[in-house]
Amino acid sequence: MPRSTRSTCVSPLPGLPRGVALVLSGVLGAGALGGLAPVDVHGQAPGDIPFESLELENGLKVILAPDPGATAVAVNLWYNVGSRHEPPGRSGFAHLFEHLMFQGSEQVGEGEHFQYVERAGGNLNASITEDRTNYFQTLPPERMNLALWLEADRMRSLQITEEAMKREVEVVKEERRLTFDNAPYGGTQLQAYYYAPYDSASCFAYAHSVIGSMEDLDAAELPDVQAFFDLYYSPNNATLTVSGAFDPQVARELVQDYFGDIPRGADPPEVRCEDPFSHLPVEMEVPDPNAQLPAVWISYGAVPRAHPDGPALSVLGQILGSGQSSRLNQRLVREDQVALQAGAFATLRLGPGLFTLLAVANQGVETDALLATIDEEVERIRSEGVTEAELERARNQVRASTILSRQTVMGRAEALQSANHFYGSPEAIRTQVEAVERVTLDDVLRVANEYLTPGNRAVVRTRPGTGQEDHR
Amino acid sequence: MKNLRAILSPALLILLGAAGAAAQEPRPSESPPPPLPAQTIEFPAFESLTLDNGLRVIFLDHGTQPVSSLRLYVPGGTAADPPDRAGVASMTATVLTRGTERRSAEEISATIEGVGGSLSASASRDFFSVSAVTLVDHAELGFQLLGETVLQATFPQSEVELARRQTLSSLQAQRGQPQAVASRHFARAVYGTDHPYGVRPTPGTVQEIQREELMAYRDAILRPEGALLVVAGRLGRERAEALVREHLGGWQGRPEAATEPPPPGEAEETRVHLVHRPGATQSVVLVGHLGIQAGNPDAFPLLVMNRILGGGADSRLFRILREERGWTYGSFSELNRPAQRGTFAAVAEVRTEVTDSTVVELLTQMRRLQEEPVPQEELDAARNYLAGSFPLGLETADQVGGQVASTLLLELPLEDLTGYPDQIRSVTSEEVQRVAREYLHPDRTTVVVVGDGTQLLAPLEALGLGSVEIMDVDGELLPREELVGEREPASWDATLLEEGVRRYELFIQGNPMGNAEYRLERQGDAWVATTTITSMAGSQETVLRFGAEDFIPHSIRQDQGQGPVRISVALDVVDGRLMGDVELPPQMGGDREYDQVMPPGTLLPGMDEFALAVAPLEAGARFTIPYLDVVQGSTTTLEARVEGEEEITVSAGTYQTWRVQVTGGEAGLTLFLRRDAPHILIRQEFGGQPLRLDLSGLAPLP
Repeated sequence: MPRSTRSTCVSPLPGLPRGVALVLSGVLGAGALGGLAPVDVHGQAPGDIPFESLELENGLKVILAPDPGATAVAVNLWYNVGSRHEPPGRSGFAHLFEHLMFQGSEQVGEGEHFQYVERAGGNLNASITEDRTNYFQTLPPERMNLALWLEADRMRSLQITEEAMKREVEVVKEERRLTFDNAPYGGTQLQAYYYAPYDSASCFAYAHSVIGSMEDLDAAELPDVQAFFDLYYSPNNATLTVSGAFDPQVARELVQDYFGDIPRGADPPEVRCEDPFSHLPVEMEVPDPNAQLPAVWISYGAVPRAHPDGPALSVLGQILGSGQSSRLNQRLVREDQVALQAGAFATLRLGPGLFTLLAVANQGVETDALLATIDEEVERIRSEGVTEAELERARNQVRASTILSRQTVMGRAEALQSANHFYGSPEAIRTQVEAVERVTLDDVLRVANEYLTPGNRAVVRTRPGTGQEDHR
Repeated sequence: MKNLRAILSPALLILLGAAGAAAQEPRPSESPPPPLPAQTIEFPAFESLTLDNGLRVIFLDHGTQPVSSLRLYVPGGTAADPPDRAGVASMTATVLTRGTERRSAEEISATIEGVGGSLSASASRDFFSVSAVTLVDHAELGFQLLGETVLQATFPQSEVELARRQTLSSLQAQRGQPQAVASRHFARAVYGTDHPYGVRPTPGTVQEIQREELMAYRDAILRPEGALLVVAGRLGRERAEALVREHLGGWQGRPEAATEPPPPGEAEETRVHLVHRPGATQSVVLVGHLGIQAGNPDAFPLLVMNRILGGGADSRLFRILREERGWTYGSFSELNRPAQRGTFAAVAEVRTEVTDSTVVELLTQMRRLQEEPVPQEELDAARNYLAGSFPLGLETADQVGGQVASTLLLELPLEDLTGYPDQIRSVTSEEVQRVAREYLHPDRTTVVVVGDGTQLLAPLEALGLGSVEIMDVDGELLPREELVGEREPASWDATLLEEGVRRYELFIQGNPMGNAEYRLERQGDAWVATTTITSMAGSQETVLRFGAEDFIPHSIRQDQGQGPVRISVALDVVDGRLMGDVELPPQMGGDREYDQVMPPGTLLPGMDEFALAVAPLEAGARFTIPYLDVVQGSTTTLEARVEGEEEITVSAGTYQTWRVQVTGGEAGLTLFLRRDAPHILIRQEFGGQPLRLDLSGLAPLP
């Protein structure tokens, strides 16, 4: 089941996972933005990505990661806007807007963006989280210029009609049904990742879902959409990354040519999220006619990704709930056999994030049993900490998954974007893994005790449907 | 109760003013830029070697990162399950890596995960595979564990039992996943249960599987003769070959000969299978039939045809069903080429109301490919995509390895792979039409719809496509009466109601955000129910009148919201006729006038609460409530199911209640109704939303 709050939502190509969580975390060593001159390119160690960064006068930040040996090029644009920017009554708006970005701009007709890219032999999609929206495409190397031209045109001159807006509202409502309303554990996850752990009064930003509510979607109006575009879709609020087989000189010229004349916009307002966990603990049960097995989600209030405790929480998530040898899998799935599956992970955001544990019950097991066993394992870690072998394993898992994820041109582009967005500079692609390597046994013990406390959590249980027998 | 949903439409929002953009010169009209100079991309080179024991090895040195990926394949996946033992292959895959002569399951997982690697086995339909992926630094360990797993797996009984339990739970979980349900039913309908592709594991078959059967299956298929090992990554040929010989050189044997299954029977007519999922808000629609086998010479024109029809966003199904109509988040078609004869299917997940139209549209698009030659533009688009994006799937060693493996395992010529772009570019419009005529059969399809049968049966029957068979999620046939108004319209004894005032508090995310007052008063021969709800989003007032003896609706007046999101309802029922008008904001459909027959038994919005208040509630009871949905403008059916008793505490006190699930609308509701009649509402929860309505006070009429 999806364990992340990201929705990859423009094109649900069969076979693609619906949500992929990025568990990397780390602390940035100071990294200043480059000026117009490229910074020096580093030598290539495993997982390393040589890059240069520059900034246009209008504030567009550009990261170029050439790799002559690659057979493709990735063009990837992150806008600093997500569901956290939505006020009450406008949930789902940023996501709806992500759909509308494909509906046409001055030089590109409605629906033509897809066509241009795919007919050039490229793949494309977009995705949105609470913290950012990204638009990405992988193409044959000779079509880099097409992608840049397209992205610039819609940043400059997106055109939305009432008809397109209404239609995309319907598409998004179907997406919501597919992912949440008609799917098992959808309602539970909405509670567990948004409504329950975050106080909506002090942190509405994270207290509502990316997909939004049906009512708010129906209430969307064209002037609101235009205002949203003007406020958030400006070059100073965006970062463009190009990675793969391309000539950086050509790229620099094209970027200046296509994006250079787009005017800088106003700085978007700050997002408020103060003290979002003071209402905890909460506990609730969600009836779910789609679910067949009981389940429980436990979300603890945690920290922003760039926080010094980020790496240790990430490591704790690995040890507690990632892989067959993790604590939760060993105890709940293998030894006690109370769970079909169990996991844990840190979802760290620009603002305060969450540390989540979850378990789906085996047949015949109730949530009380799941919760009691999970609590025992959490207590064990809080009192005894973890072992050196577990720590070593977590380090190696993070290192290996980092390297694996950077095999592709898009993987590299995403790594650079993520480092830049959450830590302020693409330099963080190096320091992230280093930070995980520096986590000690004491660090893990300390964060377990500080954050995994009974008073700091939201417990959400799924009450499954009564199945089909009921209907005869 | 349903009208409460509408009051949460937002108040006018004051956005921060958009920054005035600096005036800029308009750019001259442009076309997209032509391509930059292209580089030719060669298919990555690889080397092949066959050991004395018959194991074929592919060495593929490729990729930008120091990865060592080992994937071993043998013929015989789930399709090789013994008859009546569906589930053997996948349980064997699960248990294979959970214990060898040297290590226990815990030791294996600690060791491989300790270096950040992975070890797994899996059974696809036609092949069984074992893989070990590590960084190059730990390649030796990867080989060691791969060899140990293949040669020395011990299948501990405790692991077999654990795997069984997990499989059973997993099968249970799948019953709640509509796509998995649809796929299972489609396979069974197209292949029948005599063909291995039509059979899936059930709790019955999984329960019976013995440890000895898993080991016998492993002994039969996991042999070096006919097996393929792909060593992909940056290990280097010399080191890789040495490790292969060391850890798999001693492996011996040939697999048991597999029996060819009998060919599946062609469908002679269209059949519709309606799989009932009560309360589903979306239907999964699958339309298709048997397709082709790997090695079919028409593969390339069929790939192009499938791309045009539904191979992605720039395809007909996506464009029409999503971009033009907004019916779905995605619609696609799939044509597979497995070892035995495969299938063709067009699929979509759509909201219930447009399910029937979707079936028609999928068939129309199939026919269109047969009747009209594909225009040049679409042909070029499809060929350019398939040929142009081909190198994009060759970035990692694993990607390349996977392509090479499936080509070799299916005994296809390597030129099909290395010459893929050229083959695609040579497909013509005439060929696409020819294969559409030869291989698509819109007049004899299998149609599988998984959704809310109570809403779908009539529209699907009305399509006149063929017989409609109804079944539940498990495949058990359901009689029509289950879905079609089998119950008499319930008669509600309105005399059981009592006058009084009930007050409620509305909570949003646990914070009190509003109040409601429900007042019921007898005036002459009618009950008059006056409801006032106030919250931050606005206010709503409703006055509902219905017969005090016969429960027949008389009238409703409702006003809610403010400004552009105001809703106003003024309807009267006179001599069985519904008349009046409803004002809705434009985005909800605009204003609507009514002058039509009101079907007997249909209730007005808000009356459903009173119906349940006087219904004979008991655990397991079900009630069907037809009522008028003023937003949709049609009669719809609510289903209320009494789940059981529950004691709950609200600010008005502690109550014994009936917990009732209500489905059939936008999202499910959970009602907690006082156990004793009249079963007044104590608490209401709204499915998937952080809202709650709690009783805060009861009083007699002032």
